[in-house]
Amino acid sequence: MNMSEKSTVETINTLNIENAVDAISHIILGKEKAIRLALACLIAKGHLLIEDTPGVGKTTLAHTLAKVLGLHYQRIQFTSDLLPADILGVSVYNRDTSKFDFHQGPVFTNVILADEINRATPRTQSALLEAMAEYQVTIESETRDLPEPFFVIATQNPTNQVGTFPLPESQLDRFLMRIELGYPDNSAERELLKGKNRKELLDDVQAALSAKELIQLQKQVSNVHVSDAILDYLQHLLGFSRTSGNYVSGLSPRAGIAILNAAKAWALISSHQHVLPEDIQAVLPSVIGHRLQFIYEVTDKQALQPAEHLIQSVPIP
Amino acid sequence: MSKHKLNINKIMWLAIGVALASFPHWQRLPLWIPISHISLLAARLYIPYQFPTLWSQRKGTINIIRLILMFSGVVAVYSSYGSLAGRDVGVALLVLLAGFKIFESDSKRDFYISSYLGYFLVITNFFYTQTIPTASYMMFIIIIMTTGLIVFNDTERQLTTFKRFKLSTTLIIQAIPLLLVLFILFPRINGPLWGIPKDAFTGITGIDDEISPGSISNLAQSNSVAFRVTFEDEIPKKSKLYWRGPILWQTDGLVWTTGEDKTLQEVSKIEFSGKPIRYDVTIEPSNKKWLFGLEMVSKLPDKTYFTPDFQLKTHKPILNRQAFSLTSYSNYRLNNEKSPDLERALVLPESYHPKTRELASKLRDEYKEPALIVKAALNWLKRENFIYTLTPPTPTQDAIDEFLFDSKQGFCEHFATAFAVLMRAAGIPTRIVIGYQGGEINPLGNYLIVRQYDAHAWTEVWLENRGWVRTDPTSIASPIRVNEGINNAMPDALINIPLGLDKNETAYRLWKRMRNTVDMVNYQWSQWVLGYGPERQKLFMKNIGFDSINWKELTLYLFICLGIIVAAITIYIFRKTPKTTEPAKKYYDIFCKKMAKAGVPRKSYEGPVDYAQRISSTRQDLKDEAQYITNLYILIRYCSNNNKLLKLKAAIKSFTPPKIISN
Repeated sequence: MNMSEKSTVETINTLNIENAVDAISHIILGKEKAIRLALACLIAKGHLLIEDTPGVGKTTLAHTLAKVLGLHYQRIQFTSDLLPADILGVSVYNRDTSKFDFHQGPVFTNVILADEINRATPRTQSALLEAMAEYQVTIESETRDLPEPFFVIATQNPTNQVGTFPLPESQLDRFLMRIELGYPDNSAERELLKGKNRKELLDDVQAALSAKELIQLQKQVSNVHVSDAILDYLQHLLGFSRTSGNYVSGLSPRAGIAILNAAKAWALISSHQHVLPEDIQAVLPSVIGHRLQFIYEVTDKQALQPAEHLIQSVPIP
Repeated sequence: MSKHKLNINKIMWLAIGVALASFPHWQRLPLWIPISHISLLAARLYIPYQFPTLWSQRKGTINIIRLILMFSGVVAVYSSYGSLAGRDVGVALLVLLAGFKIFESDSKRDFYISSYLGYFLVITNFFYTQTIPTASYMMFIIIIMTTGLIVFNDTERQLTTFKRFKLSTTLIIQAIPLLLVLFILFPRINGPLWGIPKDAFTGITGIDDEISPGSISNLAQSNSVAFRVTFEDEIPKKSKLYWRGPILWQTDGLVWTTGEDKTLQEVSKIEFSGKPIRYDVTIEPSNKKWLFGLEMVSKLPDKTYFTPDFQLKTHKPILNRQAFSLTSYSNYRLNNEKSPDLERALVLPESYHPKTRELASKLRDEYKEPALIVKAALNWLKRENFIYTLTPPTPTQDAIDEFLFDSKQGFCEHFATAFAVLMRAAGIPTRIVIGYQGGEINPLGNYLIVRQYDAHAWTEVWLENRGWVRTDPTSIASPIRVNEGINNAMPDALINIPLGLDKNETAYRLWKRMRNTVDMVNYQWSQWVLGYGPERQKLFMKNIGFDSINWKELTLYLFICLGIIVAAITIYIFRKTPKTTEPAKKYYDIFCKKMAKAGVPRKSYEGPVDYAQRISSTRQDLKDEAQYITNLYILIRYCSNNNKLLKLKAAIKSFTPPKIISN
């Protein structure tokens, strides 16, 4: 009885996920894997970092995601002179009541689009830290809860570009996934060039999921079955990253949990109730791409990304 | 209860098992019981599936009819047996009620009870016969019944009928270590667990404690086994194999009998010399208290005694196969002192055998010395060319005189009785010993089979200083009988050879060899399986180093052994499956190996879904199978759904990808 109920609920929701993927694919052409990863990240209650050169549709993707998920969103354009108060909010003296009134900053919303997050100074960047980790902000020694769900979708330019402050590792770790969009392929580009303005299309986008459904989906992630075999595989991956000597530092336990959560969300999106090795492999580059680095000597030998190298080095038990 | 829970397949296996288990009983039961039994089984298989509504809605009515039938069945059993207790009645009731139980079976619980009834029915067959064919048949039924249990529990239909059968057989074979431990160590008690009716042995042929002309020649037609002997060292020469039975003292001129024990005053005295012969005699049931030992037995086994004239006897009639360890000496001196009993060995009925008496007085006058008289008489027998035959002419008046002086044809009893009369008439104390002489060596297993046709009669004469001396007149008249056995002494006899076979033909030798093999197997079966009683158990335990073990210790060792076996199996099972999904991985690896051979090896880091997709794109022909196996594997390994394991195993076993054909 329970099993069948669960599965019917799930089919409804995964159907909605497909709708969401479709809707986003209309705007961002030819990037289905990235779209699915982004959705998986949000369903796994993780924050998303989109990194790529300007002009490949990072911001558009972030916008579309927020809209399709039917959530409130605020966009913050990070600049070098952005201050923490611009994000969190300020208390302003009210002469009538002789009190300080708190004016909420853009952080009090479901989705924050932190555009070009690495243009801001580290001080401002870290203002987001507490919000991302604790789902609450402390302003003037008063702790305020953030609404639920709460995501940060940040975009950033590659760090070698002018006028960027690289995100500190501690903050990078707060993002569940870092995805790259890359250039569209030929047919997608052609369609893009022929089609309407993306901004106009974005206005027409309808929410494919309600906030309630999204929360339900997030709860379902924890129901996805993880077998011992999968845990073995994950532990082998973590173990290899720590002991092989190929990487600057091994993956942390938090990274392990992140991989597992992302894989569960990915399994849910792919509409199965259990995690497969393929699910782990699918999310691994995005989840550990910003956490794992080759030691210098290895880099020239390997034409692979660290995550791919890790996948190919560890047999599935 | 809208639908019956037991489908026809499950019930059918159960019904077949029970029917087969009760089948050997049918011939022993009143005809109506097997008919009712089978009708009930058939009804259970037919009605609920042909008329499901009737079966489910008229449950109450059917139950009442069933109860009435059952009650009348019990009454009928009572009236045909006159009792409700005893082996036969018990079996009759069991067969009848097993039918009723299966008829009413409608649930899991009923099914299991019926199965246990079936297993019990199997055991009851051993109340009647314990031969190897019976045991094999029962084993076969146990496999069928176990298959029934597997069918019942295989709700997912993961196994084909053949595989269920195979699994059941495997289970039974795996139970063999436990069976052996239980068999060897379970404390044995004397005798069978259930009483054997006294009339069970009426049809048995064997030697009697009296002889008259023709009584032993009748036995010569029977080739049933009297006893078998295993010698510790080599088997003595045939001519030395005199198996001593009853000793006859009295004659009325025709029939010789043992006479009354009471009149025997003598105290047996015996001296042995030479080398002891040690051997085991396994005697077939005879319903007699006699035991046959080589002349002469020196040491008594348990539960036996010597009569004063040195016959070996048991306290109770031998009703089942029993084994005795004996020691004999072929050189002995028996009762060489004079005693009043010698008088009894001289008595002859008055006014019988005038011709014999005449010959006797002639011999006595001529030779005087008893030893010389005996010798002379034997020489006379030799000279007169007596014919050893199974079919002597029937005596008309005086059997002894006619045999000695007219027909001169006879069997061993003729020789023995005539010689005894002659000796007694000559004043030499003589008695007749009946027993067996010789035996057939079974080269397979190297033991001696003594059959009823080896029955023999000889005499003992008492000579001063030498005591009772065995004198076998038959050996004088027909030495071949004693030296080579009765088969060679009787080339024309019908005994022992199937019709149409000549003794020199290959077919005869083959037949003989086959008979020897069968007898050897039967002998070992009876020695070590049926005859494994308290003595053999003690002997066996002694051989493996446990002297004088009692039943408490046996029970202790029994449980220790069972514990060790169960622990070993448990450890093995847990070792074999450290993780529940591990076997799936093992089978999947086999699948990958097969695929690698077919040209699509799996990369170590390749997940099953990716691999299946790659297979599908490179080998269209294997797409479905690969997909099926992968799905099963994923279900087991990543959904922790172990129910599908057997399916996966089967699918991978039958998966044989053809090699890619290069163009």
